Amino acid sequence: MVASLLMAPPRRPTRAPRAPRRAGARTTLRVPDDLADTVERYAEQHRTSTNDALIRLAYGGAKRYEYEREVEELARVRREAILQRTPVPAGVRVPTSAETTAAILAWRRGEID
Amino acid sequence: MPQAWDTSVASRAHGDGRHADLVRQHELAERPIALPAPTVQELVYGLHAHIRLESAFHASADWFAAFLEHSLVHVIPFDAASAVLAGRLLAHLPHPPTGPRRREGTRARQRAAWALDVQIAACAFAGGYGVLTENVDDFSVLRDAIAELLPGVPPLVVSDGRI
Repeated sequence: MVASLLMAPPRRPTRAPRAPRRAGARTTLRVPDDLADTVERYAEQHRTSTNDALIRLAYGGAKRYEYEREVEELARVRREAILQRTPVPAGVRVPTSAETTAAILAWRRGEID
Repeated sequence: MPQAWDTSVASRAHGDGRHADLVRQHELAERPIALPAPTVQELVYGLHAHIRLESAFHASADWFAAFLEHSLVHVIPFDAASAVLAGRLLAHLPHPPTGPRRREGTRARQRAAWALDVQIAACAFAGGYGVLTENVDDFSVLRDAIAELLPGVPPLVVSDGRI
């Protein structure tokens, strides 16, 4: 007997994996080709839909951004405080250049502990 | 809050060191590993000083060189603000705090180690980080000193890295 297509068991249609339902505003965006390639690869590797892959990658980027934002903001506030010049008390004597240099080098010279 | 690793933690992130799992945790969460520049200096110094004694330490130095290239590792620069704060801290606290713990090394070594801890704290603070350390007592003293010098500024958070 010659096998025919009609005798073959019906093939199950391959369905794209469904993305988990998420709450939030729907939007349409244009995905650049190079990013779309990455999204496709991610979706295939993690057996999920391309929509879900795009969201997961965006969450990854968002997490890094929030980390950097937190660090940068704290650094900005702290640096400002560190580098703020303190006012010189009124009426103090201004040390000579030699005295200033000596003060800076006193530790190296073993004059202060 | 993001934490910077001090030397007591970073020096034990190698192989089966007790903080090696921390590297894996950062990798799983894709969370950056922040190393203050003075911590890098101390690690490289220790490893290369030992290469002079035994060439096997080339392997350890190579591990650390590769670790620095890890995509998650970020070295916090010792910049102007770090340097100013470190200088002020060292003038404020020229000696390591005396506590019940017996310190290792000669007095000069203890002073040098203290100066490095001061730089690590200043670098992490100015860079916008807290510190993860096993040396909680000393860094708590530095946290309090920074709070005294810079009142009203978000304080250095010192996290206990002892496991």
